[in-house]
Amino acid sequence: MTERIGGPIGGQGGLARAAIEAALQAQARAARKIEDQVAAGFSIAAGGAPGAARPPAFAGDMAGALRGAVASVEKGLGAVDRMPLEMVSGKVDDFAQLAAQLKQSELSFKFALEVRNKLIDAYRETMRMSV
Amino acid sequence: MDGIGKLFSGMNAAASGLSAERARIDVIARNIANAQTTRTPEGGPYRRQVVHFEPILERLAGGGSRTTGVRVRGVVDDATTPLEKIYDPSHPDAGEDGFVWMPNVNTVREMADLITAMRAYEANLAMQEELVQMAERALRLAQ
Repeated sequence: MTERIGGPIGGQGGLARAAIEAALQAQARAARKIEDQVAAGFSIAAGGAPGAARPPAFAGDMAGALRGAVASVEKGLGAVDRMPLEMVSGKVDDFAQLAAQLKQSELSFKFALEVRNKLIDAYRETMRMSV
Repeated sequence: MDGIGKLFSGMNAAASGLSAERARIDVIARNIANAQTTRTPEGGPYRRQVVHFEPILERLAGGGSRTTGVRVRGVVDDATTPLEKIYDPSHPDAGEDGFVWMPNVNTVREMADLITAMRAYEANLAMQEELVQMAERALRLAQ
């Protein structure tokens, strides 16, 4: 009896495991692809050459991907931090340009945050999975 | 303008429009302020100034160019509108005949220009707000 049930269930279990693993790998690949695109976008925006857009941190795993993305967003935010200072010191004399740049960096930060949230969600979903 | 900056090309164009219209309003303010100025370092009364714009062009890699916004090409004196001559012998700048050359600034015309410039400014501002809203709503989709 045990053998009779154990056989097919074991087989199904193996199939399910393979399916889960495949799905996880696909998700990780997709997440890494999105992260790469985001990081490439940010480093080009920050003035890097399109060919050398990939930061070294990106070659690795998901944690590396997150670190790289956070670093590139930080670079953008640093520029925004200096802006009000330049405004006060008289280097920038245009409210419209300043406001537009502030809004742009806010939006790109939100965008990066959204990608991060998705990655964290994916990680949590994976951790909650009963093995 | 590549990468993430591409997402904001519309916003940059609208921002350049805001700057340009602000420059136009600044010149109108100078014209109205000098509507009674009869003596300038160059000699003669103040002459009304006009702004003209030009597109900001970005060269494309494969040749040709693309418009990315607008900027002020220059501010020049309005030489076509004639100066006004009024009779006021008590004026320090009056000639022998008692006539004074006044600036060619017509305050009513400047006010009309100011209204059109303000409307153009508001249009660019509305564009800017619309683009921000679009981006924010698209981001909400990912939540």
